[in-house]
Amino acid sequence: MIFQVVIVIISLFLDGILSNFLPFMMGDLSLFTPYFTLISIVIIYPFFKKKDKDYYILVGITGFLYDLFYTNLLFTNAIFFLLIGLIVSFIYKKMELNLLTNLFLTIFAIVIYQTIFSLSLFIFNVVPVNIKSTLYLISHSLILNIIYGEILYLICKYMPHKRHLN
Amino acid sequence: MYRKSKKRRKIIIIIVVIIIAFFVLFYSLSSNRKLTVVESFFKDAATIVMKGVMLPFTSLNADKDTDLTESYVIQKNLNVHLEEEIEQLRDTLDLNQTLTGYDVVNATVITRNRSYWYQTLTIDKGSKDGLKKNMVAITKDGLIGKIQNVTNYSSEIKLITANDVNNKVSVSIATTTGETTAILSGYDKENNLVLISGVDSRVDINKGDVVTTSGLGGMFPRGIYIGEVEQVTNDKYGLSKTLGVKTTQNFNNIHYVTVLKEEKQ
Repeated sequence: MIFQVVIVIISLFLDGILSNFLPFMMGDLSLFTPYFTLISIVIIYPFFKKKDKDYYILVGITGFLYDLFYTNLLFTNAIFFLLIGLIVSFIYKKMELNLLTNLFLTIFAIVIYQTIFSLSLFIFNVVPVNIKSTLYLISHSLILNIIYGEILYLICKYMPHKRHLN
Repeated sequence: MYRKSKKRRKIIIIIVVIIIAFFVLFYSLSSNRKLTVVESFFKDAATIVMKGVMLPFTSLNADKDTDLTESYVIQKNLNVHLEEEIEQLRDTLDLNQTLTGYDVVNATVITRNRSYWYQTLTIDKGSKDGLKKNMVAITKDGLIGKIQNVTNYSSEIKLITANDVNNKVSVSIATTTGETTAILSGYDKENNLVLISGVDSRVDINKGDVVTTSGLGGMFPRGIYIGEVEQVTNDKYGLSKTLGVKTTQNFNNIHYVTVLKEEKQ
Protein backbone atom coordinates (compact mmCIF):
# COMPACT_ATOMS: atom_id res chain seq x y z
CA MET A 1 0.00 0.00 0.00
CA ILE A 2 2.86 2.38 0.86
CA PHE A 3 4.34 2.06 -2.61
CA GLN A 4 1.03 3.00 -4.28
CA VAL A 5 0.52 5.97 -1.93
CA VAL A 6 4.06 7.18 -2.64
CA ILE A 7 3.41 7.02 -6.40
CA VAL A 8 0.23 9.05 -6.02
CA ILE A 9 1.88 11.66 -3.75
CA ILE A 10 4.86 12.08 -6.09
CA SER A 11 2.48 12.43 -9.06
CA LEU A 12 0.40 14.99 -7.18
CA PHE A 13 3.44 17.16 -6.47
CA LEU A 14 4.88 16.64 -9.97
CA ASP A 15 1.57 17.91 -11.37
CA GLY A 16 2.05 21.20 -9.53
CA ILE A 17 5.76 21.53 -10.21
CA LEU A 18 5.54 20.80 -13.92
CA SER A 19 2.46 22.92 -14.55
CA ASN A 20 4.32 25.79 -12.95
CA PHE A 21 7.71 25.30 -14.56
CA LEU A 22 7.21 23.57 -17.91
CA PRO A 23 6.28 26.81 -19.68
CA PHE A 24 9.42 28.41 -18.29
CA MET A 25 11.51 25.54 -19.64
CA MET A 26 9.76 24.80 -22.91
CA GLY A 27 8.21 28.00 -24.18
CA ASP A 28 4.75 26.76 -25.07
CA LEU A 29 3.43 24.29 -22.58
CA SER A 30 0.05 23.77 -24.16
CA LEU A 31 1.18 20.48 -25.70
CA PHE A 32 2.49 19.31 -22.36
CA THR A 33 -0.35 19.76 -19.90
CA PRO A 34 0.27 17.36 -17.02
CA TYR A 35 -2.46 15.19 -15.48
CA PHE A 36 -0.06 12.97 -13.57
CA THR A 37 -2.33 12.44 -10.57
CA LEU A 38 -5.06 11.10 -12.81
CA ILE A 39 -2.59 8.85 -14.63
CA SER A 40 -1.18 7.52 -11.37
CA ILE A 41 -4.59 6.39 -10.10
CA VAL A 42 -5.10 4.50 -13.36
CA ILE A 43 -1.70 2.80 -13.25
CA ILE A 44 -1.85 1.68 -9.61
CA TYR A 45 -5.12 -0.27 -9.90
CA PRO A 46 -3.49 -3.68 -10.52
CA PHE A 47 -1.90 -3.45 -7.07
CA PHE A 48 -5.41 -3.44 -5.59
CA LYS A 49 -6.68 -6.34 -7.61
CA LYS A 50 -8.48 -7.97 -4.72
CA LYS A 51 -8.92 -4.86 -2.60
CA ASP A 52 -11.22 -2.64 -4.64
CA LYS A 53 -12.55 -0.83 -1.56
CA ASP A 54 -9.04 0.33 -0.57
CA TYR A 55 -8.49 1.51 -4.13
CA TYR A 56 -11.66 3.62 -4.20
CA ILE A 57 -10.82 5.17 -0.81
CA LEU A 58 -7.34 6.12 -2.06
CA VAL A 59 -8.77 7.53 -5.31
CA GLY A 60 -11.39 9.58 -3.43
CA ILE A 61 -8.79 11.04 -1.04
CA THR A 62 -6.47 11.79 -3.98
CA GLY A 63 -9.27 13.63 -5.80
CA PHE A 64 -10.04 15.63 -2.65
CA LEU A 65 -6.35 16.57 -2.25
CA TYR A 66 -6.14 17.50 -5.93
CA ASP A 67 -9.06 19.91 -5.45
CA LEU A 68 -7.43 21.32 -2.34
CA PHE A 69 -4.03 21.89 -3.93
CA TYR A 70 -4.86 22.92 -7.46
CA THR A 71 -8.50 23.95 -7.78
CA ASN A 72 -11.14 25.45 -5.55
CA LEU A 73 -13.73 23.01 -6.81
CA LEU A 74 -14.48 21.20 -3.59
CA PHE A 75 -15.04 17.46 -4.23
CA THR A 76 -15.38 17.93 -8.02
CA ASN A 77 -12.22 16.04 -8.88
CA ALA A 78 -12.89 13.57 -6.06
CA ILE A 79 -16.12 12.61 -7.85
CA PHE A 80 -14.49 12.55 -11.30
CA PHE A 81 -11.52 10.51 -10.08
CA LEU A 82 -13.86 8.03 -8.39
CA LEU A 83 -15.89 7.68 -11.56
CA ILE A 84 -12.74 7.09 -13.63
CA GLY A 85 -11.49 4.66 -10.96
CA LEU A 86 -14.74 2.68 -11.27
CA ILE A 87 -14.52 2.52 -15.08
CA VAL A 88 -10.81 1.67 -15.04
CA SER A 89 -11.30 -1.14 -12.50
CA PHE A 90 -14.03 -2.60 -14.71
CA ILE A 91 -11.80 -2.45 -17.83
CA TYR A 92 -8.78 -3.91 -16.03
CA LYS A 93 -10.82 -6.97 -15.14
CA LYS A 94 -11.62 -7.55 -18.80
CA MET A 95 -8.17 -6.96 -20.29
CA GLU A 96 -4.72 -8.40 -20.06
CA LEU A 97 -2.14 -6.07 -18.56
CA ASN A 98 0.65 -5.00 -20.90
CA LEU A 99 2.25 -1.89 -22.35
CA LEU A 100 -0.48 -1.46 -24.99
CA THR A 101 -3.34 -1.86 -22.52
CA ASN A 102 -1.61 0.70 -20.35
CA LEU A 103 -1.36 3.09 -23.30
CA PHE A 104 -5.04 2.61 -24.08
CA LEU A 105 -6.09 3.19 -20.47
CA THR A 106 -3.97 6.34 -20.19
CA ILE A 107 -5.59 7.85 -23.29
CA PHE A 108 -9.02 6.61 -22.20
CA ALA A 109 -8.69 8.20 -18.72
CA ILE A 110 -7.72 11.60 -20.17
CA VAL A 111 -10.53 11.53 -22.74
CA ILE A 112 -13.13 10.54 -20.12
CA TYR A 113 -11.85 13.10 -17.61
CA GLN A 114 -11.90 16.01 -20.06
CA THR A 115 -15.27 14.96 -21.46
CA ILE A 116 -17.05 14.72 -18.11
CA PHE A 117 -15.41 17.95 -16.95
CA SER A 118 -16.60 19.78 -20.09
CA LEU A 119 -20.01 18.20 -19.77
CA SER A 120 -20.34 19.38 -16.16
CA LEU A 121 -19.29 22.91 -17.08
CA PHE A 122 -21.82 22.83 -19.90
CA ILE A 123 -24.65 21.48 -17.72
CA PHE A 124 -24.03 24.00 -14.93
CA ASN A 125 -23.39 26.81 -17.44
CA VAL A 126 -20.14 27.91 -15.78
CA VAL A 127 -18.29 28.90 -18.93
CA PRO A 128 -19.01 28.63 -22.64
CA VAL A 129 -17.98 25.10 -23.65
CA ASN A 130 -17.85 23.57 -27.09
CA ILE A 131 -16.65 20.33 -28.65
CA LYS A 132 -13.73 22.06 -30.37
CA SER A 133 -12.26 23.35 -27.10
CA THR A 134 -12.70 19.95 -25.46
CA LEU A 135 -10.91 18.22 -28.33
CA TYR A 136 -8.18 20.86 -28.18
CA LEU A 137 -7.70 20.17 -24.51
CA ILE A 138 -7.64 16.39 -24.99
CA SER A 139 -5.14 16.54 -27.85
CA HIS A 140 -2.91 18.92 -25.92
CA SER A 141 -2.67 16.75 -22.84
CA LEU A 142 -1.86 13.40 -24.41
CA ILE A 143 1.88 13.42 -25.18
CA LEU A 144 3.32 14.15 -21.74
CA ASN A 145 0.79 11.99 -19.90
CA ILE A 146 1.30 8.98 -22.19
CA ILE A 147 5.05 9.19 -21.58
CA TYR A 148 4.48 9.45 -17.83
CA GLY A 149 1.97 6.57 -17.91
CA GLU A 150 4.42 4.28 -19.68
CA ILE A 151 7.27 5.20 -17.32
CA LEU A 152 5.03 4.51 -14.32
CA TYR A 153 3.97 1.19 -15.81
CA LEU A 154 7.59 0.10 -16.25
CA ILE A 155 8.44 1.20 -12.70
CA CYS A 156 5.45 -0.75 -11.33
CA LYS A 157 6.30 -3.79 -13.40
CA TYR A 158 9.71 -4.19 -11.80
CA MET A 159 8.66 -3.47 -8.27
CA PRO A 160 8.55 -6.26 -5.66
CA HIS A 161 4.75 -5.94 -5.54
CA LYS A 162 4.46 -7.23 -9.07
CA ARG A 163 2.86 -10.45 -7.86
CA HIS A 164 -0.40 -8.54 -7.83
CA LEU A 165 -0.13 -7.73 -11.52
CA ASN A 166 -1.63 -10.04 -14.13
CA MET B 1 -36.35 -12.95 -3.55
CA TYR B 2 -33.38 -11.92 -1.40
CA ARG B 3 -31.23 -11.43 -4.52
CA LYS B 4 -33.92 -9.24 -6.10
CA SER B 5 -34.16 -6.92 -3.07
CA LYS B 6 -30.37 -6.72 -2.91
CA LYS B 7 -30.27 -5.64 -6.55
CA ARG B 8 -33.00 -3.06 -5.93
CA ARG B 9 -31.09 -1.69 -2.94
CA LYS B 10 -27.96 -1.39 -5.09
CA ILE B 11 -29.87 0.60 -7.74
CA ILE B 12 -31.31 2.94 -5.08
CA ILE B 13 -27.83 3.53 -3.65
CA ILE B 14 -26.46 4.33 -7.14
CA ILE B 15 -29.29 6.79 -7.83
CA VAL B 16 -28.80 8.51 -4.44
CA VAL B 17 -25.02 8.76 -5.06
CA ILE B 18 -25.63 10.30 -8.52
CA ILE B 19 -28.07 12.87 -7.07
CA ILE B 20 -25.63 13.80 -4.26
CA ALA B 21 -22.76 14.06 -6.77
CA PHE B 22 -24.91 16.30 -8.95
CA PHE B 23 -25.63 18.69 -6.05
CA VAL B 24 -22.00 18.69 -4.91
CA LEU B 25 -20.89 19.57 -8.45
CA PHE B 26 -23.50 22.32 -8.66
CA TYR B 27 -22.26 23.76 -5.36
CA SER B 28 -18.53 23.48 -6.07
CA LEU B 29 -18.70 24.77 -9.65
CA SER B 30 -20.57 27.89 -8.58
CA SER B 31 -18.26 30.80 -9.37
CA ASN B 32 -19.44 32.96 -6.44
CA ARG B 33 -18.88 30.26 -3.84
CA LYS B 34 -17.02 31.38 -0.73
CA LEU B 35 -14.42 29.16 0.90
CA THR B 36 -15.62 27.57 4.13
CA VAL B 37 -13.52 27.78 7.31
CA VAL B 38 -12.61 24.09 7.08
CA GLU B 39 -11.70 24.45 3.41
CA SER B 40 -9.56 27.52 4.17
CA PHE B 41 -7.75 25.60 6.90
CA PHE B 42 -6.94 22.68 4.58
CA LYS B 43 -6.04 25.10 1.79
CA ASP B 44 -3.57 26.88 4.09
CA ALA B 45 -2.01 23.55 5.04
CA ALA B 46 -1.77 22.64 1.33
CA THR B 47 -0.17 26.03 0.62
CA ILE B 48 2.52 25.49 3.26
CA VAL B 49 3.28 22.02 1.83
CA MET B 50 3.39 23.31 -1.75
CA LYS B 51 5.56 26.25 -0.74
CA GLY B 52 8.08 23.78 0.68
CA VAL B 53 7.94 21.57 -2.41
CA MET B 54 8.30 24.54 -4.74
CA LEU B 55 11.11 26.22 -2.81
CA PRO B 56 14.04 24.71 -4.78
CA PHE B 57 12.37 25.57 -8.06
CA THR B 58 11.33 29.11 -7.17
CA SER B 59 14.84 29.90 -5.98
CA LEU B 60 16.13 28.76 -9.40
CA ASN B 61 13.87 31.34 -11.00
CA ALA B 62 14.72 34.16 -8.63
CA ASP B 63 17.34 35.71 -10.93
CA LYS B 64 14.85 36.05 -13.77
CA ASP B 65 12.70 38.53 -11.88
CA THR B 66 15.23 40.64 -10.06
CA ASP B 67 13.61 43.86 -11.26
CA LEU B 68 10.38 43.21 -9.38
CA THR B 69 10.64 46.24 -7.17
CA GLU B 70 7.62 48.26 -6.26
CA SER B 71 8.77 51.34 -8.15
CA TYR B 72 9.67 49.37 -11.27
CA VAL B 73 6.36 47.55 -11.45
CA ILE B 74 4.37 50.72 -10.97
CA GLN B 75 6.54 52.74 -13.36
CA LYS B 76 6.22 50.09 -16.05
CA ASN B 77 2.46 50.20 -15.73
CA LEU B 78 2.33 53.94 -16.06
CA ASN B 79 3.83 54.16 -19.50
CA VAL B 80 0.69 55.74 -20.91
CA HIS B 81 -0.13 58.22 -18.20
CA LEU B 82 2.95 60.12 -17.23
CA GLU B 83 3.79 60.43 -13.57
CA GLU B 84 3.82 64.21 -13.63
CA GLU B 85 0.44 64.36 -15.25
CA ILE B 86 -0.95 62.03 -12.61
CA GLU B 87 0.48 64.07 -9.76
CA GLN B 88 -1.08 67.16 -11.28
CA LEU B 89 -4.41 65.42 -11.66
CA ARG B 90 -4.28 64.16 -8.11
CA ASP B 91 -3.66 67.65 -6.83
CA THR B 92 -6.25 69.42 -8.92
CA LEU B 93 -8.99 66.85 -9.30
CA ASP B 94 -8.42 64.82 -6.15
CA LEU B 95 -8.03 61.78 -8.37
CA ASN B 96 -7.03 58.94 -6.11
CA GLN B 97 -7.50 56.07 -8.53
CA THR B 98 -3.90 55.92 -9.74
CA LEU B 99 -1.29 53.27 -9.09
CA THR B 100 1.03 55.51 -7.10
CA GLY B 101 -1.73 55.82 -4.54
CA TYR B 102 -1.65 52.11 -3.77
CA ASP B 103 0.21 50.00 -1.27
CA VAL B 104 1.50 46.88 -2.93
CA VAL B 105 2.29 43.34 -1.82
CA ASN B 106 4.74 41.21 -3.78
CA ALA B 107 4.03 37.49 -3.84
CA THR B 108 5.35 34.27 -5.31
CA VAL B 109 3.21 31.91 -7.37
CA ILE B 110 2.99 28.52 -5.64
CA THR B 111 0.70 26.54 -7.88
CA ARG B 112 -1.22 26.97 -11.06
CA ASN B 113 -4.42 25.33 -12.12
CA ARG B 114 -3.82 24.48 -15.73
CA SER B 115 -7.39 23.67 -16.53
CA TYR B 116 -8.55 25.50 -19.65
CA TRP B 117 -11.59 27.09 -18.02
CA TYR B 118 -10.24 27.77 -14.59
CA GLN B 119 -7.09 29.73 -15.25
CA THR B 120 -6.04 30.57 -11.74
CA LEU B 121 -2.82 31.04 -9.80
CA THR B 122 -2.25 30.49 -6.11
CA ILE B 123 0.12 32.93 -4.42
CA ASP B 124 1.82 32.68 -1.04
CA LYS B 125 0.22 35.78 0.52
CA GLY B 126 -3.22 35.90 2.10
CA SER B 127 -5.43 37.80 4.51
CA LYS B 128 -2.62 37.87 7.11
CA ASP B 129 -0.76 40.13 4.65
CA GLY B 130 -3.80 42.34 4.18
CA LEU B 131 -5.06 40.84 0.92
CA LYS B 132 -8.77 40.77 0.19
CA LYS B 133 -11.08 39.48 -2.49
CA ASN B 134 -11.18 41.47 -5.76
CA MET B 135 -7.79 43.14 -5.24
CA VAL B 136 -5.91 43.65 -8.49
CA ALA B 137 -2.84 41.60 -9.47
CA ILE B 138 -0.22 42.96 -11.87
CA THR B 139 3.28 42.14 -13.04
CA LYS B 140 5.87 44.39 -14.65
CA ASP B 141 4.15 43.65 -17.98
CA GLY B 142 0.72 44.82 -16.88
CA LEU B 143 -2.58 43.55 -15.57
CA ILE B 144 -2.94 39.80 -15.01
CA GLY B 145 -6.12 39.43 -12.96
CA LYS B 146 -7.83 39.84 -9.63
CA ILE B 147 -8.01 37.93 -6.37
CA GLN B 148 -10.87 35.46 -6.32
CA ASN B 149 -10.45 33.73 -2.96
CA VAL B 150 -8.35 34.46 0.11
CA THR B 151 -7.27 32.25 2.99
CA ASN B 152 -4.95 33.23 5.84
CA TYR B 153 -1.75 32.33 4.01
CA SER B 154 -2.71 32.12 0.34
CA SER B 155 -4.81 33.77 -2.33
CA GLU B 156 -6.18 32.59 -5.61
CA ILE B 157 -5.87 34.93 -8.58
CA LYS B 158 -8.20 34.56 -11.53
CA LEU B 159 -6.36 35.57 -14.69
CA ILE B 160 -7.91 37.89 -17.26
CA THR B 161 -7.41 35.06 -19.77
CA ALA B 162 -9.94 32.88 -17.91
CA ASN B 163 -12.81 32.10 -20.23
CA ASP B 164 -15.42 32.89 -17.62
CA VAL B 165 -18.71 34.71 -18.17
CA ASN B 166 -18.11 36.68 -14.95
CA ASN B 167 -14.60 37.74 -15.92
CA LYS B 168 -15.11 41.27 -17.33
CA VAL B 169 -12.78 44.26 -17.14
CA SER B 170 -13.60 47.80 -18.24
CA VAL B 171 -10.80 49.06 -20.49
CA SER B 172 -9.79 52.30 -22.17
CA ILE B 173 -8.31 52.46 -25.67
CA ALA B 174 -6.10 55.44 -26.48
CA THR B 175 -6.84 56.23 -30.13
CA THR B 176 -5.51 59.06 -32.31
CA THR B 177 -8.79 60.96 -31.80
CA GLY B 178 -9.09 60.44 -28.07
CA GLU B 179 -10.10 57.75 -25.62
CA THR B 180 -12.86 55.19 -25.89
CA THR B 181 -14.00 52.59 -23.38
CA ALA B 182 -15.01 48.95 -23.90
CA ILE B 183 -15.15 45.60 -22.10
CA LEU B 184 -12.38 43.02 -21.97
CA SER B 185 -14.39 39.87 -22.35
CA GLY B 186 -12.35 36.91 -23.44
CA TYR B 187 -9.16 35.32 -24.61
CA ASP B 188 -8.20 33.83 -27.95
CA LYS B 189 -5.91 30.99 -26.90
CA GLU B 190 -4.85 30.03 -30.40
CA ASN B 191 -3.64 33.53 -31.34
CA ASN B 192 -2.71 34.53 -27.79
CA LEU B 193 -4.84 37.67 -27.93
CA VAL B 194 -7.01 39.25 -25.25
CA LEU B 195 -10.43 40.08 -26.76
CA ILE B 196 -12.25 43.36 -26.29
CA SER B 197 -15.86 43.62 -27.37
CA GLY B 198 -18.48 46.35 -27.57
CA VAL B 199 -16.33 49.00 -29.25
CA ASP B 200 -18.40 51.58 -31.18
CA SER B 201 -17.87 50.92 -34.91
CA ARG B 202 -17.65 54.70 -35.59
CA VAL B 203 -14.50 55.00 -33.47
CA ASP B 204 -11.35 54.84 -35.54
CA ILE B 205 -9.06 52.24 -33.95
CA ASN B 206 -5.69 51.36 -35.41
CA LYS B 207 -3.17 48.60 -34.87
CA GLY B 208 -0.81 49.63 -32.08
CA ASP B 209 -3.32 51.68 -30.06
CA VAL B 210 -2.63 51.21 -26.36
CA VAL B 211 -5.17 49.52 -24.08
CA THR B 212 -5.26 50.19 -20.33
CA THR B 213 -7.83 49.74 -17.59
CA SER B 214 -10.39 52.54 -17.55
CA GLY B 215 -11.09 52.67 -13.83
CA LEU B 216 -14.83 52.48 -14.50
CA GLY B 217 -16.72 50.10 -12.27
CA GLY B 218 -14.36 50.78 -9.39
CA MET B 219 -12.73 47.36 -9.30
CA PHE B 220 -9.60 47.99 -11.39
CA PRO B 221 -7.71 51.28 -10.95
CA ARG B 222 -7.28 53.45 -14.01
CA GLY B 223 -4.16 53.23 -16.15
CA ILE B 224 -2.92 49.66 -15.72
CA TYR B 225 -1.31 48.57 -18.95
CA ILE B 226 -2.92 45.62 -20.77
CA GLY B 227 -1.46 45.63 -24.28
CA GLU B 228 -1.66 46.99 -27.83
CA VAL B 229 -4.34 46.46 -30.45
CA GLU B 230 -3.32 43.77 -32.90
CA GLN B 231 -6.57 42.89 -34.68
CA VAL B 232 -9.73 44.86 -35.46
CA THR B 233 -12.84 43.03 -36.69
CA ASN B 234 -16.36 44.34 -37.32
CA ASP B 235 -19.43 42.34 -36.33
CA LYS B 236 -21.73 41.15 -39.11
CA TYR B 237 -24.18 44.04 -38.60
CA GLY B 238 -21.45 46.69 -38.56
CA LEU B 239 -22.57 48.05 -35.19
CA SER B 240 -19.55 47.23 -33.06
CA LYS B 241 -15.95 46.14 -33.30
CA THR B 242 -14.08 43.36 -31.57
CA LEU B 243 -10.41 43.98 -30.87
CA GLY B 244 -7.64 41.46 -30.40
CA VAL B 245 -5.05 42.86 -27.99
CA LYS B 246 -1.50 41.59 -27.86
CA THR B 247 -0.06 41.62 -24.37
CA THR B 248 3.63 41.57 -23.48
CA GLN B 249 2.70 39.34 -20.55
CA ASN B 250 3.41 35.65 -21.05
CA PHE B 251 0.50 34.11 -19.16
CA ASN B 252 2.17 30.70 -19.29
CA ASN B 253 5.13 31.96 -17.35
CA ILE B 254 4.18 33.93 -14.26
CA HIS B 255 6.24 33.35 -11.12
CA TYR B 256 5.97 36.62 -9.22
CA VAL B 257 3.04 38.99 -8.96
CA THR B 258 2.30 42.31 -7.31
CA VAL B 259 -1.07 42.86 -5.66
CA LEU B 260 -2.40 46.41 -5.38
CA LYS B 261 -3.54 46.39 -1.80
CA GLU B 262 -5.33 49.59 -1.04
CA GLU B 263 -4.98 53.30 -1.35
CA LYS B 264 -2.30 54.93 0.78
CA GLN B 265 -3.59 57.17 3.49
